Amino acid sequence: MSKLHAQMALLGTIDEIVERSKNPATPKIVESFLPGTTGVGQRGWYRELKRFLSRPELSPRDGLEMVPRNEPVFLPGIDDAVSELNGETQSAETASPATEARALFAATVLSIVGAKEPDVRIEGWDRSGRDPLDALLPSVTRGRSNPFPPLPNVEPGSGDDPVVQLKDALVKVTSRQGYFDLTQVLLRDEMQLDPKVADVLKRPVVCTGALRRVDGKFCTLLTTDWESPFTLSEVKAKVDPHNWPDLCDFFDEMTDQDPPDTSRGWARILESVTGDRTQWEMRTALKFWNGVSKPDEGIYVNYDLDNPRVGDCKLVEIDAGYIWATPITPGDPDSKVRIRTAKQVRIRGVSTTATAALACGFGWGDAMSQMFADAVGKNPTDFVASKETAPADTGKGNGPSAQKPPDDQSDADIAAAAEEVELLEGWRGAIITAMQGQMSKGIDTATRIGTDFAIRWSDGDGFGLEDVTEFGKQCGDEATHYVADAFKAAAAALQPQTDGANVTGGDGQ
Amino acid sequence: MTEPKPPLARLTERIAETAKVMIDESAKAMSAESKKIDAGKDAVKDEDKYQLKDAIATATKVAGVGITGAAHIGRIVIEEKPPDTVLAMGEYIASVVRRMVTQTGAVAADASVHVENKDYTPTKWLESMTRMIDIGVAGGMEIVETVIAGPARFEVQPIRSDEFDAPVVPNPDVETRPRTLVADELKRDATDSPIPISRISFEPPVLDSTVTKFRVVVDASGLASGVYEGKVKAVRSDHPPTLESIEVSIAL
Repeated sequence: MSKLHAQMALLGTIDEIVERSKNPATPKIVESFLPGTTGVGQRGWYRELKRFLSRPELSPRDGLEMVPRNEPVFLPGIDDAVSELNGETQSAETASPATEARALFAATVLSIVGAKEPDVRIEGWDRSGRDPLDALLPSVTRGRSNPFPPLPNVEPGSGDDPVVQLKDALVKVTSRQGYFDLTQVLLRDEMQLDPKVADVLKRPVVCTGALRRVDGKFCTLLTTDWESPFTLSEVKAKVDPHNWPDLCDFFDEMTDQDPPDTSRGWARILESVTGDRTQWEMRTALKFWNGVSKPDEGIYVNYDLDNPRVGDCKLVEIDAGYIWATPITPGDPDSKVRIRTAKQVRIRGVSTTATAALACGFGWGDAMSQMFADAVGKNPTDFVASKETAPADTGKGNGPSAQKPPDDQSDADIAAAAEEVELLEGWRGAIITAMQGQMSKGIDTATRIGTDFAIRWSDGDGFGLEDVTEFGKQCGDEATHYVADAFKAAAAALQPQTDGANVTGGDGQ
Repeated sequence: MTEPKPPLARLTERIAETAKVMIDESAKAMSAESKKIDAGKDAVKDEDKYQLKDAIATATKVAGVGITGAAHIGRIVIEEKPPDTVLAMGEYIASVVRRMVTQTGAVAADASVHVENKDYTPTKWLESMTRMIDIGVAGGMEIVETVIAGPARFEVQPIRSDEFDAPVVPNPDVETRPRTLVADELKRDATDSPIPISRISFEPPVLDSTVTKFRVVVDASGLASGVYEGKVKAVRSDHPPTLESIEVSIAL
């Protein structure tokens, strides 16, 4: 198990609670922390993500050989995930500050929502055992013993235990913004935080996405904007994509690509990302452009899909974006920089919600915010501005680029493959079962309403004006619920069914 | 002791029971069909394959639930939401439907080849039908997934750049006429397509002698994300026209 998978399991369990909850308030609470994850067709993203990660195209490689998997990709239950994050397992890996930041945020939401859903059962989570936030806070606070000064929303005299104080403050937060505001309070000097704890709290929590239409398809667009504590020269020393695997645990390898080259001066790299290299890796052929922005002399890295797509998994349809660092005080060489990032991504057969979860939950979309505080490896690549060149020949003539690699696939080929509809095996059966349940439920409802009408009509007093009003309202409510539940059921039937999740949807699914 | 229910109530309940039995029976039949469709590609014996005579219309109706429902929800959202979101939503639904049309067109084109070759067998017709249904459901669910999410998920357009210093006027005491701004080749470096001029505007749109700062405003829908570089020219209608320009960057 990896720390990244453990942290993703915390986020995913929030989704599982939303799916199983019958309390209409629960999705609203979660939505206020993780916008865009609880609607119909959005909830269930964790199952969808697990199914995607288990695709054969994402099998890990041993050298150039793909290692076939016998089991689907494994993400742990909550109890194991918390043990992993607390370092209670044999894993030699340590959680990065960015992973810890996302885990703390997820555990906070889980604690808030879990307290309101005591009856929801999730595999791998002993509900009578430790609350995930209780379990994580001692390691996150690095064994702090001196009490905090009064914290927001915490009653005075609630005790001197800093872990209890912090938990009380965290679980009273009601929104993503509230969480951010609390971390800002905690970062004040008078809180006397351990520098490592401060480093965790300075990291952004899980990013969220918007939609942008590109080439007639909607893709997930993830943006971040951060006034960093770093100077332009510090960023320059690290920002080149070759350095990313040294700085961010989600990036596994960046390998320079061989010809053919159509890039006109863009650097061509095969990016490999993974949450657990023993289980899966996603390889994407990208090209990068290092530029200097005008007029403030900031620096940026643009990236986009390469063409041809040599050696990649062929599942990513769109992957473009930038990292842009601009001096907050132009002209001052010691100025700190504002770092803005965007990632525009669409993955074949994966919903925009699950794509956003993959990119944000693993730190793919906002990797920059976790990079610059760490040291680069032994042979860092400095930022050098790219220069435009004439495109190399891509298959004609006798030049070195004339030979096409065996798995060469053009953008057009991949776009054509993307047009193939991918629905789950057995979706027809699932939707029939779902609709059967919904229709039976509808008949039960109609029976109840019809019986009620019959009793009122037969009681000798007839059907008065009050009866008409009340009955009409009842019919309207029931009909609305019926249609809404049928939709929820249809949406749930078209998502992967794993972990014993309810197949039929409806009833708050 | 509970009172006996009136006859009408009992009748209602009995009809309901009968209807539920009918639904259970038809669901069983449909489930069997669906398994045949799923297993059809691997079946060896003809009788195990999903045949034309099987009631594909039933499956089509079930699939229709997703498509029809999605269209309804889309329409409701269009009616209820504010105008800017309506545009995004309408554009979105149109784009998904367009893609569905393209996909179904590909299926039809494939079928037409078989028809011309006179080998368009009932089994191939069935394959085409099954793919059509899959396209409808996938497209319908994509709309549902996004439409239900609400307007907050659509990127706010247009995108505004940082502020730039207005190009310097050489003789400000003499030249007081307002200048219009024109973008010149705003694009990602080492790519071919600059952003179309029609998608670029400026705040303020005209520089009079008092304006010292301006922003570039771009409708980024359809554009690859990246930092775009180029020039902005400030043009005065002299004879001949004179202009000054500055270099700009905008992240989209």
